[in-house]
Amino acid sequence: MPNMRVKQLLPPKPFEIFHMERSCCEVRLEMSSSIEYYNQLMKDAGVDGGVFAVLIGLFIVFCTAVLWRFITGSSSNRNGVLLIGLSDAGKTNLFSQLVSGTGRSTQTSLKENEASYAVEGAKRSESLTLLDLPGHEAIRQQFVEKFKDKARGIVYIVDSETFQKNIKDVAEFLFQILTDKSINKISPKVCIACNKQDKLMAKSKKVIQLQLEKELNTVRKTQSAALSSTSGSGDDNVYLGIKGEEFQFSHVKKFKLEFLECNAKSDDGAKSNIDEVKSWISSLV
Amino acid sequence: MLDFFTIFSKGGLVLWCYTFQGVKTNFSEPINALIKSVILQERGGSALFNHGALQMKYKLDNEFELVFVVGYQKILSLLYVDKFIDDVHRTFRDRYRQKLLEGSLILLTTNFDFESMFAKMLRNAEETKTQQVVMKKFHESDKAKKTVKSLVIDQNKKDGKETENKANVIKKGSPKSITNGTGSVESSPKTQRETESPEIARNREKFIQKRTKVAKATMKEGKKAPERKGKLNRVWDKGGTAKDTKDLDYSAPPTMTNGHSNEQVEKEELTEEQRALCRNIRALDDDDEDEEIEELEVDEKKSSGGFFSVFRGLVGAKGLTKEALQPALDTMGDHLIAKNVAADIAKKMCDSVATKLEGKVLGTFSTIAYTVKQSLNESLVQILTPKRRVDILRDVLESQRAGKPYVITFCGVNGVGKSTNLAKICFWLMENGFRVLIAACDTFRAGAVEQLRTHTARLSALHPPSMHGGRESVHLFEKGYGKDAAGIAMQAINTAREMRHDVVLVDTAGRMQDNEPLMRALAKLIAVNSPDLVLFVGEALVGNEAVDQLVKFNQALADHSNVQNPRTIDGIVLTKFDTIDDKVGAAISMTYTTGQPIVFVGTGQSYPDLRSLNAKAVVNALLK
Repeated sequence: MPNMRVKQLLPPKPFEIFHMERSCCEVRLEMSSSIEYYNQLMKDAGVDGGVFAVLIGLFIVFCTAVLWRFITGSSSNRNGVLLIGLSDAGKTNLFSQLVSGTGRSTQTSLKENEASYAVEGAKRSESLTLLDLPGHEAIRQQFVEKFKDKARGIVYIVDSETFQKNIKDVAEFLFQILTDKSINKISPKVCIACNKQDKLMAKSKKVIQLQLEKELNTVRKTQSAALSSTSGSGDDNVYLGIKGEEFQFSHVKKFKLEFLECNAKSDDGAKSNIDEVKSWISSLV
Repeated sequence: MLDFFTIFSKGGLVLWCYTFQGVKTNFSEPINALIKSVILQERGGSALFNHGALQMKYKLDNEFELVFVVGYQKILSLLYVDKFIDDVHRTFRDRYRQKLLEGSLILLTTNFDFESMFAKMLRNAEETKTQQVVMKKFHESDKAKKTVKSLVIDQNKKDGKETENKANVIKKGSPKSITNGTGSVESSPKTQRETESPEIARNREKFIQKRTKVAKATMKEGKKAPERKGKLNRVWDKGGTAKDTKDLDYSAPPTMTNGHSNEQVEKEELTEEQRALCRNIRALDDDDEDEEIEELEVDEKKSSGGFFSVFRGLVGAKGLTKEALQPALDTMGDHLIAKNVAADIAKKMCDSVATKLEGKVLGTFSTIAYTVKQSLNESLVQILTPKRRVDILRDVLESQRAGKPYVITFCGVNGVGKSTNLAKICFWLMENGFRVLIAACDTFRAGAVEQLRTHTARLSALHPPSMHGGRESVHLFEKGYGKDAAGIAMQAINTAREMRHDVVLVDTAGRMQDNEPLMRALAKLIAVNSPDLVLFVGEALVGNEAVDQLVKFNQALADHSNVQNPRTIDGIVLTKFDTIDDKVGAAISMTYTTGQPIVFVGTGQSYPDLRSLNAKAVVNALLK
């Protein structure tokens, strides 16, 4: 019971707003008298000063925690652009092109590459962070898990040349991204970049879009029939598209989905062409 | 004579590379193979990898997140490569230390001009290789001196004491023991046991004495302590780790002295109390035990993230060394084994984690134990995550469209639950509207066909034809006992094609992995019918045996099939998962051995008790 009463007292009676004319002495007097007043109150309530002090301490700690959360939460402010896709789709090369303007020969990534990316014509404070995540099956899930909270935009890179062969894997990974609960919550912009357009057998973005829609429709069916996992917790994924209708990318309202064409590699005489990706990224700011 | 040498960041950006006389060889493909099949599969313990005619060796720099790979023709067997790769690593790191610290932007823009230096180092290395390394003679080695000195002297003293001691005991002992043991110094274990009881009082006294000695010893330790640089880098020699067994194993007969075999038996029979009687070797023994105890304490401290470990973290801003990692790794290894991970796989995991962490700089407040655990956690999740797409329904749909049945073969040792889980999978497929044909290819075990017939009857009762447009959705294909399994499977697949079944589930007889004729028959069945999926059924209760089973099954399928690219196991069904609580180590053993995913997990007795594996939950249970 005494605690209740103390709580009622907690919003302290404000010190009177001091005017400048008042002397320092008076202020001190005021304060000491008010402290005495509080002590009196405490005694009346039957609580000694110790408990009161502890409560105030707790209150301050709580306030700091809230403030800290507020400050840090606002400063990180999701400025990441994730480059994801299957292994050998050209993520690291695109990353290198975007950051330094030159291509590099690459190997299968074992961990992420990170660099800040200044958008032309944007303020310094609004620079984005490019994150190139590894695409190998064994580790990609872990890295997506780790960085998905930072995503302001997601560039899903597809190898247009081997698309026909890898379509199931491409669709499954894309399905995982689009149905992930926390990604849906922050709903970043998503673009599907059809890379390696310079190659002879490369599919155009139109074809890729149509085939992906068909494939995602099947994946949606098989994934909903998949077995639940051992831990007992059912997968809490979001349903993709509209129930009872054939899947279309236009049904995905959460992400502003876009299809782009690019080629990041610049050998064999062909010049790299990543302007669409660049302009898409600058549209994020 | 190197084919190539390349340095790239773990992010995959090639920083610098050397090719033999500037020849543009395409080495990125073999390196990708190395990354995918060694580094990403946690087979980091051995750093050699063969790809075609190439042999590759790699080194990870965990401080700057770099990978060094050297490749050469396998037939060359270059001896200097080990040292050379270390040298290049060191030089490169020292030279570009500043730049490497500044992140990937700098990596992209810098031109690493390393050619001249590399050429010089390579020339040096190739020259030095010609100097024949003369092997040390045995008597020159430290070991020879040590064993001769310590073991021989100890031996005599110990024996002397032993004799005295025995003589005393025998005098006091019962008449029977006298008759047994008179004259013979090498008294039998029986006598020792009999004479033990009168000793007890005396032993207790000695034990108390011994404890006081221990206390003194620890005090000595305490005085020595300030000389050391803190606890971080302390490595206990003869600390009871696997490496030290050689030094600690005093039971082995000395190589130089011509010891009797009886002596050896005696030494093994020495109990703690008896050892306490031998004054001369007591000091040594005490030290060892003392150290063992201390090491245990240290381990506990580490795992609990105690007060000192925080300090250690604050002070030690150096890269991790193998020695510093070893105690934490040993505890983790033991922990894994306790969770039913096969012993050699636990060891390989620890080695892999060690290579991943060596040289890494710890964060200010992270302890070694925590870092090791974290890294092990990642590695385990990585192992359990499938390396390829596992979506059986999708594949069934595909072959349905192509108008041919999707064939799944089950194999495994006896009594692991092949037929039961086959029935469960059948139920799951029927729930999803597929028509299933079960082929009873277990023509050996009595009642195997009847078991499947019962399952079929039950399943069709659960899914009556009325639910599927008047067509039975499950059938049993059987030809009785004693026939050739491969033939039956083939007939079943043909029948399924004609009757438009979507899936054929082939049940095979259980067989021990060592039974060659049966393994040959299985290999034939798989080679002839080329099923779409070969599932190995293994129970979660299995421990070290899991590795042997899978390796031998895989080996048999590869050896006996006379095909260019033999089919091996594509996936694993882990059964009896509900019986093991948190000892889920078999999942790791199996996936590590084959590199194949766990497709199904059987978790109970009824048809719906079939699950997919949740890698994170399993790893959490493992590291709990």
